[in-house]
Amino acid sequence: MLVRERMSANPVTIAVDAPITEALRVMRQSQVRRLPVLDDEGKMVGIVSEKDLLYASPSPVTSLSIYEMHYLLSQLRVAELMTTDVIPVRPDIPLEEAARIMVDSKIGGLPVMEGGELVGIITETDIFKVFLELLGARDKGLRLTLGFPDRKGAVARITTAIAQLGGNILALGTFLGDDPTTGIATIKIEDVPTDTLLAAMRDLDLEILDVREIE
Amino acid sequence: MLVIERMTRSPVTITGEATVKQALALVEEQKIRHLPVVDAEGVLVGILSEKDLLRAPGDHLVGDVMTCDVITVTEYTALEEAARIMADQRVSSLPVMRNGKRVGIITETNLFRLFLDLLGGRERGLRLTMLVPEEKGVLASVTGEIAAMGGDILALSTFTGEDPTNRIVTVKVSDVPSEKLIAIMEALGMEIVDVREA
Repeated sequence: MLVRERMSANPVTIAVDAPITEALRVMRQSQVRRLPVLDDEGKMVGIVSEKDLLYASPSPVTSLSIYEMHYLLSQLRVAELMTTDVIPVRPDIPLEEAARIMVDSKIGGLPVMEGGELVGIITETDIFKVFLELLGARDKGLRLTLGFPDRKGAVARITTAIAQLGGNILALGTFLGDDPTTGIATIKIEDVPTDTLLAAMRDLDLEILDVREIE
Repeated sequence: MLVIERMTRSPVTITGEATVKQALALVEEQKIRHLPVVDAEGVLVGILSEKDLLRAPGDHLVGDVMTCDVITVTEYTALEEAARIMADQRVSSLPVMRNGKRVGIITETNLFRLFLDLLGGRERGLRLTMLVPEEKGVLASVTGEIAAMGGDILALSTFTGEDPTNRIVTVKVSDVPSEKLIAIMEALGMEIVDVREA
């Protein structure tokens, strides 16, 4: 799964000299939380987020009237509040690489660039949706979490045993265990009785961490 | 993986009598994005996000601007179920309860880190993405071949495919030469979508 497959292509943008009232309006209208900022030549020069704008808005506790406040806001330009320190990514990098950059840099969205052109934006929300798919959050079935002491070959043993029982694997995800040689797998399965499955897993010396039926 | 394994225990809270300005100062100081609101007995009565606070007038009371209808989960809710609730209800955090008592909070950020683990985002290896037929036993043959070659599966995840007849599998493997792995997967009838060292 690459960034290209899950990014929003042709994202809504804002001009660097637009007033922030305009940026807020565009965000609300398009239901997005960040806008890439373009200069006169259409080159990306920064990103502005709803939070940047909200933090900049004068607190309503000030003695300013609503008209004065609106005037002040309309004088403030996107250029003054945008983040210029953006981390662009290419559309052909893996999604987890984009996720790693977001976590490490504590940012919620990355512009996607190809050949110097802005081609999309990838956000935490886009990645979050993939995460749901990954663990089959919307599928019904038997959900099993297993701990395996020795990682090498473990996934093969688990999936082979399930196949031999006639089970269908709806989703499978593996996690790191407490140390690098161990692992945890969460699997969603249909077409196999719970007792039979658990017995087979115990025969493989796997630790059954959790079992539940998801309806 | 259950909520208890990834939640933040004893999160910072605020009371309904505090002002929005005080709440914002706390959010900034603690570098958090969600603030559960509790009464004098410590019972959960509402929740506020950083954005709720930024949108509200600074002199208003937390109790007047908080969301009272708080959706909660338990420690034993599956993590993907917590993620599904967040996506469906458009909230980015869920307080975690045990017998009516508050024991923690689970946020989008906690879940996001889990996603990195799932795809082996921090491990080095050969990363292979394949389109595989949606049939029983396919994952067993894919992983069985990798094991037979002496490969170590660092991460494996399945995604929805292009249509109901197939699905996408991303696997990160070490200890196996790339050409050999690709040849064997192609021989099994898997369509290689992407290969890279990552």
